[in-house]
Amino acid sequence: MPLCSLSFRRPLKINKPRSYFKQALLSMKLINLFLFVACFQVSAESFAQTVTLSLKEVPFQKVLKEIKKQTGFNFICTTEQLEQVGKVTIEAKAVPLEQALQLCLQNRPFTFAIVENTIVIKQKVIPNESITEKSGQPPADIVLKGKVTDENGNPLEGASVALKGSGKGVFADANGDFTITVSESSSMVLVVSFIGMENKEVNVKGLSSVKISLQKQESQTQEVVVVGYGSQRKASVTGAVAQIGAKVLQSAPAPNTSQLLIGRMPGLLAKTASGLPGEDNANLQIRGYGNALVIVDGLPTPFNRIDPNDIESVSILKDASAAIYGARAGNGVILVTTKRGKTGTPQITYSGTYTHQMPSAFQNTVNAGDWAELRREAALNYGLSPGEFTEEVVNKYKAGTEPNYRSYNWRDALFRKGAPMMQHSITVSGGTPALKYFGSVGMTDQQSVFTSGDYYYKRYNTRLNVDATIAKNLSLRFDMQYRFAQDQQVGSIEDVMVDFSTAQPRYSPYLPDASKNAYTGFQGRNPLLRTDASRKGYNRTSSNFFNGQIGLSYKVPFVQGLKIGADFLVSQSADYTKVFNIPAEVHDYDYETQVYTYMANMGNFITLRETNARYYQLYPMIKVNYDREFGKHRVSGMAIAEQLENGGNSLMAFRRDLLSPSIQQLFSGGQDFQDNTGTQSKNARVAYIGKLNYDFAGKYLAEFILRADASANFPKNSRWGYFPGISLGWAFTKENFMNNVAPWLSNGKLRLSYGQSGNDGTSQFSYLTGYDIDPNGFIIGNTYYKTISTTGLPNPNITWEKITNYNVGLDLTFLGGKLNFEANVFYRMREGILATQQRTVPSTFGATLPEVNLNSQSNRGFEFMLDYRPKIRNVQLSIMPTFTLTQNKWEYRDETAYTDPDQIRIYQLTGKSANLSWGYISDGIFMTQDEINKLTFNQDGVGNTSLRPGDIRYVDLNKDGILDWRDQDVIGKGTFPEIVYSLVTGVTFKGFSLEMLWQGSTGFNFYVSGAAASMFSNESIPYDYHYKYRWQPNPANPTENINPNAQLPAASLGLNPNNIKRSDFWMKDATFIRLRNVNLSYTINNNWVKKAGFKNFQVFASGTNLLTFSRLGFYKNTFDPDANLSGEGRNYPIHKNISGGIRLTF
Amino acid sequence: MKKIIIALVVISMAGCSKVLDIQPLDMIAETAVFSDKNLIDANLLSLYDRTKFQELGNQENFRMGLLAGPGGECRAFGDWQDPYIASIKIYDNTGSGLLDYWAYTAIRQINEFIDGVKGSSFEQSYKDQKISEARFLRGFIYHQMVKRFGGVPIITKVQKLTDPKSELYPARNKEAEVYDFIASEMDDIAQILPATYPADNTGRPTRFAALALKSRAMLYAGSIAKFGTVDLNGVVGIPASEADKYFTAAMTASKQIMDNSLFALYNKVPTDPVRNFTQLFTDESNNPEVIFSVKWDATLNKGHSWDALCTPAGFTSGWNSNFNVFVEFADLFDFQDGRSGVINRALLTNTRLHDIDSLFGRRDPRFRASVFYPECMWQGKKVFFHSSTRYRNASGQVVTNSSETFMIPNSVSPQFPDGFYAKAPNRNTQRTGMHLRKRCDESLAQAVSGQSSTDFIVFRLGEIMLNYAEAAFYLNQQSEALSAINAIRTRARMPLRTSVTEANIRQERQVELAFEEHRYWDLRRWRIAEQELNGKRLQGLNYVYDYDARRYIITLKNAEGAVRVFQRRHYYLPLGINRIADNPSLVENPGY
Repeated sequence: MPLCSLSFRRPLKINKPRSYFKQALLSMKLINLFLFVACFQVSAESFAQTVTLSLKEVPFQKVLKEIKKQTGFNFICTTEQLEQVGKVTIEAKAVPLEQALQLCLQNRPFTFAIVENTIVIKQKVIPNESITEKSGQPPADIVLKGKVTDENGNPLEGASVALKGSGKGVFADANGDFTITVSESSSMVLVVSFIGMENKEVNVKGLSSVKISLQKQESQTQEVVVVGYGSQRKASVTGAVAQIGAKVLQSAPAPNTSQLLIGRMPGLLAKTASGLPGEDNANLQIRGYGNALVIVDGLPTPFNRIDPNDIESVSILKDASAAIYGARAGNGVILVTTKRGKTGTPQITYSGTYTHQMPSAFQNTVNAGDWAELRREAALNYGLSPGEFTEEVVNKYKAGTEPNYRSYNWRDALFRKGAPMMQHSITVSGGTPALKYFGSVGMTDQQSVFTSGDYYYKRYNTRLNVDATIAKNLSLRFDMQYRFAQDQQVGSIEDVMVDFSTAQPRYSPYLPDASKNAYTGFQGRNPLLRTDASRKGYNRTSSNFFNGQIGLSYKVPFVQGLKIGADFLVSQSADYTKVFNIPAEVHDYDYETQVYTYMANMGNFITLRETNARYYQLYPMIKVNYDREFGKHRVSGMAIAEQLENGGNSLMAFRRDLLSPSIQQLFSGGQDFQDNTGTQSKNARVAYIGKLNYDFAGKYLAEFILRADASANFPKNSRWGYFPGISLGWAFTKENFMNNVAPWLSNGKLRLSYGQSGNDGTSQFSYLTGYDIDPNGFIIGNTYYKTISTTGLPNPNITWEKITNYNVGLDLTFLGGKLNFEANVFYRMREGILATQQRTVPSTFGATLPEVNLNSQSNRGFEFMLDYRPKIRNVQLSIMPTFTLTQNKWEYRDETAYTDPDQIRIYQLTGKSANLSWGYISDGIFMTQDEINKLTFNQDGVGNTSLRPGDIRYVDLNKDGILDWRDQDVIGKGTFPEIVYSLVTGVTFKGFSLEMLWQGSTGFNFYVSGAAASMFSNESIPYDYHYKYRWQPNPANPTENINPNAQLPAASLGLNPNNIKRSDFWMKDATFIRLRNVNLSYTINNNWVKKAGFKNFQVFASGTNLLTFSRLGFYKNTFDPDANLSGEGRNYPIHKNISGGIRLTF
Repeated sequence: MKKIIIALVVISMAGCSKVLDIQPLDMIAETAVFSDKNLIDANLLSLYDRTKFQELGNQENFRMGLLAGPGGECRAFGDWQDPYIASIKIYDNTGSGLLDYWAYTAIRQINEFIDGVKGSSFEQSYKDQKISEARFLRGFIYHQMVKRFGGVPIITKVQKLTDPKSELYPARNKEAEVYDFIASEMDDIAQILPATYPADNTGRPTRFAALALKSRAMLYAGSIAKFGTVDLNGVVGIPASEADKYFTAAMTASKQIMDNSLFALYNKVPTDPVRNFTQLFTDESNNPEVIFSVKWDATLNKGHSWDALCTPAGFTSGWNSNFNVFVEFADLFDFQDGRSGVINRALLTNTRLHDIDSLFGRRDPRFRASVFYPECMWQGKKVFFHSSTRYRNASGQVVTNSSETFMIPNSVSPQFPDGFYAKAPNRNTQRTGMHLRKRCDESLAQAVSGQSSTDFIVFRLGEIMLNYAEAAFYLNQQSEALSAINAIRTRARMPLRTSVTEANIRQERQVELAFEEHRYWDLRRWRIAEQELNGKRLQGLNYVYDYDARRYIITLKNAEGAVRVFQRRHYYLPLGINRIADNPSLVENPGY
């Protein structure tokens, strides 16, 4: 019987939920060790221990328990084994332990091993007697040497190496090395196994040495998941928790870790705002709830800037499982866990990537000829003078042959085709059982796609995580992290985009005299100048982040399963910003006369602003853990008391009129216009946390959570909140009645949860009334006085909103683990959302009533994930679709007590979806004046006299003959998707691995507005779609359209009140599907690599955002549906990346 | 054991909740404010800052032109800018949009302040002074509201949630009641407020500021009584029978100011009426015309952007040339010799050549001080507005060039020391060919955003005399009206009138007070906005320069892309459906 068939993957004997993962790995190694000891009875030492047992027909578990009681020996055994051993009868008085065990396991297919103080129950290996019997002469023995490693070349200490079909086996040492003697007559096939890894059979015929690398078991549903304040076996998890591991996070280079999570976890909704280096955070929302609490290694800190190479796992707590984080966890929790050291020789991994970043869909504007034509047409449409845009001038621009009438492309001048990003990381991990460490150094250098190269983000990060056993039963955890980042910009992105939006295509971006800046048609605006640090100055931020934690854990020797511990976490961030501005001039150049004309200035003064901001957190906690099994009952509990104190301050100084731009220091500033200011803040929380887990035979699971939370945001009387959570699990496939019912169903679990958590997002001290210092002051005499004004009415009872989560989940495992299915249906109720009382007093009261915990909103939805990992010959496939739907609704919203039915219909939100958008219903555009004349209702309030052909036609919904606010209706949804789905597919063959991540979002809208809707608004340059789809007057009869594609209003020089009414005309379905990632990697595992001294050598390539399909229609060349789509859509583009890299392990 | 440990842990942490007792680091306790004169004043000054003495705000203070737009004086450069949007908006029952002002938050805070000072332990004279300042602000705010909406609820106490429903949900007072309230408040505080302040307290209202507000408010009330219609039981409109009472009150209040020797029409440069009228708005040292002004000073980090907005292109960067004066408004400025200023439209043809100086340069000095026009001087240079130039080229052909960067060959001359460019800076050519100049500070070298220090004059003697003249006229005191008008005209160096008509008085007022946030309200209270604005598309001028003739071809062009709508109902702005829904005791104005 092959060894590997034994099911030892779920070790039951784990004491400490916290940092389970680390322990689990350790345990795995130990188990392997024990396993071999047990199987081959290599060295069963005699024991001094004796036991006295007198038990009749009792479960074997009870025997073991009794032994444990008498000897203190732990045991390792699966529930299946316990069942198979069945009832045991034993009578033994002061017999050696070994003997007692033998008695118990008599006639059963089990044996045992005792190592140190642990008993390992093991399947008996029945020697293949036929081989030995049949061979006439003893076959020649071959000594085979080998090494077992994981896919990254890390040695797998304790991996088992068995000769297939024989009882023979050895285990690998700390370096992964093993030596086995095989006889020629044997199968010559080694079966290599290690917990958590795929078994591997290797034919060693003719070999004298062999190198075997095992692959991590391909399963998204990892064995251990990180949950609040600890970790838990996946099998016993009862809440809705999703987790991804290090492999996924390293699959594609990204400067921002948040981007790596998109599409990877069911229930996680995301939207990217911008690709700008340093500002490319994805907006992640668990089930669409709003910003989640992010905890990194126990400390609430943002995780966007953590080096993905440092991260072991990211998990999200979606339901009652978040209740353990209490008052801040109402929107769910994102838990990030960094890597820790493993026992073994130091293992050094270098990974380096080079990424080529390109802008995604982006801003196609018209050329000079079309622009001039539209300028002329827009003026004429509105009876205005076309000014310089005579027909002749328009024709000159159209022809583009005369030197002063050419067309230029500012987009191509401002943005380069691609910009580099480089990331390097070196991690070191290793240690002895007494001292383990993980250290890393990382570097990211991200450039922007601006041609100027003056916008960049650079980051240097280091980390050291140490686990040490400093005395018997006493272990220490010591972590430190330091990160330094530099972020440079010149003008703000808003300014650059505004300058870009008005840069007329008739002006050349570059002048023959390169020292001069080009005029763009609008005062001093020039996007190239605005992005040029040498001419315009800079805005630099250096941020420092330090975080350290120390934790002690003491295993109480006299109470089994009890541990006490204390942690202290501290973090400090310090940001220093320096904004330096120099004035610059723009010139117009006449290509005929070759004369430069000064046009305007961008900026007028040399200014310098420096800001220092600091923020700290101090976070001590004390904890008690208890974990013990009583037969089939397993109980674990945890109690924590913690306190979090944080605060910060900032200091700003400003000077104008510096002596010289070459001395960029405050002291060189002028005496006038000096400014400085500073702020300070402080906050604190205290919490007591309790958690109890009960597990009956892995079949019935229960978890109880209670957290008491106090926040200084609230007054004494409403400071404390209590957040309970209960979740239950039923592994129904373990029921007897399921035997043989569905053999294809390896595992099935039903989960139910209910929990409360909170949201304390409110301004501090809103329970106090007082006077604040105003940002502005007032001059009396010749003195500027600061002024103060009342903070308004306080709410002495303000407290957090309560959020109740309900979740029903189903986990199914088919085909022996190859197919996993997980689904959750959820309902969430937010109550006591802080809101201003609208109903209580009218506007004449003169004060906004204080925010009171008043409103309520519900979310409901479901999510599922399928994870199928079939293996066809040597090809490992994976298919993982996820789907999330979430909808929210105003259950109650304190609002004006409307009585008018239309006001109730349109403005009252109570009882309606919270994700609706209201406006008028459009009905195309008026193609002719005749259509306006025939209009049967008054659309503009003045008898349609203000309407003109090419205007939007609306629908008089209530048919009362006039278009007014009563004619509004639902026209779409909000800007955050309601449905998010993804599909990850992968193929692994030998060293090759290919993965694709498709992700789609739907149920949200993009509202085209501002210059994106009204051409020339704010002097902006129209987009190509404006030109192509506008209502275009027939020159012969200007009330007639001659554009067969006409879908958009007639050209105008700005906002036309009729056309900018909020309506479905501009409401676009932003649904999209995007190829987020394609990753290809190849692991080279040959002699050359070994000779070069590598344990592992991997090359990889990936692409990000390469393809997008959206429903934006003709807007899609200009706007990225995933980008920040509010307003005019003018933002730094989202990046499309192609990257390549290597990962080496020494 | 477990329990013991948990108990120990709990005990050890119990002391920790002290950490939660955090006091605010940036807030002043309520009780401290009214026992400290500095804090009392700091609070009072925030109320000054809240009072809408002038339109302000929006990107780079665009809204400084907010009332001049709907008032038909000038248009904002961009169709997307607030003053333009406010002029073309068709106001309906959804609300008053950009023109809205429903300042009950400020009213409440003023009432709180008054209560706080009343309850303080300082000397009575101090309390009276501070309370009077606050009452002045409150009166000013009520006038801002009554002129928009007609009658509004008068609230003079700090409402509590426990107050009776009838008080918490007040109905609108009658329009006359609001005006009467302003009058009685100003009468009261005029007894208390001093006539002048020492230099370090200037900027606070004097008794004359209170009288000035009364003068203005009573004139408004009188004209509403005279020209308006009573509706909604007097919530809007004032019975015609009351007109004389209000006009008399306006005259009396005005007279008290006019008769005081502290005030005189600004006349520091009698030899140069243009410079004199220009300096009136920028001279901040002992300016005898100023009754009350809001102080600004960029070097104290409180600057506004008026100069940045008004200065013509070619003199500053940024959002310049923003307020473009309509031809119809320029028409109101007569010539210095007394000829009508109305430009003869028939002469604005493609062929006729105009001498720019005779068209603009000889108008009322107040025109020249209030408007930038072609070839007027600014900071030592000429301002240009032409969109192209016709000239004879080297080969003797007459050609037209419209390049901003093309200098007419050999044009550097005494007339054009920097040469003459074929086209003026683009922004000067696009809208009306005239820019708003009044209140600009020629000495400000860098007319950029936030750098203007010019005070905003809220009340000046010129207005008071015009109030007086108008009230006197309707009270049939022709000679009083005439002498006040002539005093204004004397200062402006305009020919004196021998008698006055309603039209004369109205014209004088619009010319003298141009761009000072009066005309929109005046057209409304005179009930002539329908005829002046409705259905109109106001116009501007386009100039082509004939270089050889040194003259301009001037043509008319539309300056607005939409026809204005000012209907009868628009004499009062709508409260809006939201305010009505949240207080059903309020009634909407007629016609909405």
